[in-house]
Amino acid sequence: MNIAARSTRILVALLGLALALAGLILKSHDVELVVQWASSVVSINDVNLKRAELLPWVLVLLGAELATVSFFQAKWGATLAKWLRLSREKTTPSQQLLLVLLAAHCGITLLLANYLGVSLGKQLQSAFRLTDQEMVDANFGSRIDFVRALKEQTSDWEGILIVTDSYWPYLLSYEAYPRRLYRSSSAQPRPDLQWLNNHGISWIAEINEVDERWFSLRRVK
Amino acid sequence: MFVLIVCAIGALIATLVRREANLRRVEVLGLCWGLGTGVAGLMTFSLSFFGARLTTGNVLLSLTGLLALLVVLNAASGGGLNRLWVCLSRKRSGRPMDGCERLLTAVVLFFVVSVFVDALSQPLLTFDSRSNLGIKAKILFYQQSVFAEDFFDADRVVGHPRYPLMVPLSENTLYHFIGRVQDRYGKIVFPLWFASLACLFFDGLRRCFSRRFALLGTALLASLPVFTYNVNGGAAGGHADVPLACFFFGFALSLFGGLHNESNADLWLALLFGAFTIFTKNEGLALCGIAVTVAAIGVGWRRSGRLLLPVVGGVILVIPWFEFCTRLPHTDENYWSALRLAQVGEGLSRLPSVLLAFPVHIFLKPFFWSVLGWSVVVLAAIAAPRRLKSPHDLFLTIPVLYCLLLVLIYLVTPWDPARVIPLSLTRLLTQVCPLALFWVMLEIEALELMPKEWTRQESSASGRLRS
Repeated sequence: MNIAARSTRILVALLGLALALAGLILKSHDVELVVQWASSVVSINDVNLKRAELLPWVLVLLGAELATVSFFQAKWGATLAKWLRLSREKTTPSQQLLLVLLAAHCGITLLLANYLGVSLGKQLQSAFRLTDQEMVDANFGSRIDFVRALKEQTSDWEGILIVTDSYWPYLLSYEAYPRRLYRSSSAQPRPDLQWLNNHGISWIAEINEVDERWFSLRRVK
Repeated sequence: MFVLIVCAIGALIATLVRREANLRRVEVLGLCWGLGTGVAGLMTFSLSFFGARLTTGNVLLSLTGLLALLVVLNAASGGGLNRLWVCLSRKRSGRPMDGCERLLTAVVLFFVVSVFVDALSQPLLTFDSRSNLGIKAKILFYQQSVFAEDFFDADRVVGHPRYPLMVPLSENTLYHFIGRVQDRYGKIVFPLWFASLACLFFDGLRRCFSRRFALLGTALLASLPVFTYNVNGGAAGGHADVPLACFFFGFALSLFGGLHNESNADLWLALLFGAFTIFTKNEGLALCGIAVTVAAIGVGWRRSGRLLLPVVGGVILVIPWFEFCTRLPHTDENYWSALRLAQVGEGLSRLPSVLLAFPVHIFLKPFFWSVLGWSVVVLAAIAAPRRLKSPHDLFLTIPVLYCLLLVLIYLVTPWDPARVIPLSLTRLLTQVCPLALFWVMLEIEALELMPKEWTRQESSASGRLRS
């Protein structure tokens, strides 16, 4: 093996180890560190937060893959070098462009496959640990107290008016069915008694827009 | 059991339609789920529309009745069952797979299996899958009718009351087999649609090209992040976009195959897939309209008479849905009536931001589209000198025209485009991305960007699409 190939192999192995180490360090710290960095790149929301939590494991996996590649480089290196030489010598510029696009797709796919693998691993862990209802409850986040209160205090087929500016009652409507949910924005005039009677509304719920843990649920007199 | 019955229905329809052609195994695999769910969905809707209750007994009886009818029709049509059996049971002929083909097959399987795992490892959680589709499946299961009061109360918290019911009806049918609403298992229909799309894509390429090239295209499709990774959508999320992509790809492929090869079997398939596309999502009607217009222009008005079969037949199949739609409550999202010159004019101030959103989304979000957008642009640039000569450019014209329609929709939407575009554009483009990728593969071959021995079809396979 010539010096260039050997140094490439060492560099790839070092990069792999560094990535795996970075992943392990991040894993032992709170996710805050990742979130702080991520907040400068993308907006922080529930989805991005969940992605950020998986980053340490993705780094560990990627590092392990690079280390494996460097280990087998002696075997594959010659073939790869031959392919690269052929692709330079025996292809037109258009074909080279296509190869670059294909390589880019492979790189993106490999990164995302790692993410997908880690994400599915976590998901399967939850699937074995939690019931479906627990997963759904976790998905409601801070609103779960309201969801539980609604399901405990009201009965099937009753009409419930929820006063809130957000659209999450649409998510709740599936959960609470066959209760009949109606939504009214706080900016709209409050529906009158006739409207409530026509729609068979038995309950009115109001949710604090600032902190959704605070709510009121009262029966219509 | 549900999957088996639906697939059997689809496979028997495919055998019946393709009476004169040799069926390929992948073709049957691609068609069986798509045709089966489509026909089952339209049938259960029509049953309910004409007054039957969707009880478990009625649903099971109608499906088994349809299966029995198809068995009889196939038996009567001269060895249909035998042809299907031979197709599914024969050993693979031709040369064995080489290392590269095995690798590409492994890539396809990895992503398809990952979508299955993703779908089945959690219940419905995303917003649209619960509020637009899942809730309707629940209503259908509990109320046993499409005329349930829940669908007609405009004030109720049920998302998009005028959305077609193909996906909810499929979920509902599955719930009848299980005996209760169990959305984790109900989600199996979504990866099956994705697998069906992958098989149809492979078969579409395989009609003209080598197995290796067809596998390469299918691996590129299956590994598109928008299907496997997209949190707000994706093939496992429980949204209607992947089923729509599957049906519409089947429609477009059959339509153009039928017109170019003058194959009535393909036109019958186009008829069915067209009806399923319209019955899956409102966008389906627009997509079918665009595809038919492009096809009519592409083949010339003289030959466009052949379009009558899929167009008229498809419309007849969905007449009950259109009639039902007239009774559903209107919402502020009535885009067909909003697309008036005055209203579009009012929305022109949004045009710069909407136009900017498309390239930003397609080119700068590789975690959705990988390099698909870049590939389309690069290939279009390389192929520029011989433009307007390739009949397969129709496959790119449809996504481009659809994007233009989406621009118009974003100009008139009652929602703030800055909020709605990030939420919806990925999913809307998912519906046409298989066609764009299909064009990319055809263009790669046409421009000879890959060695001929990679793309050339083996002599044993028949080329039906190429004409």
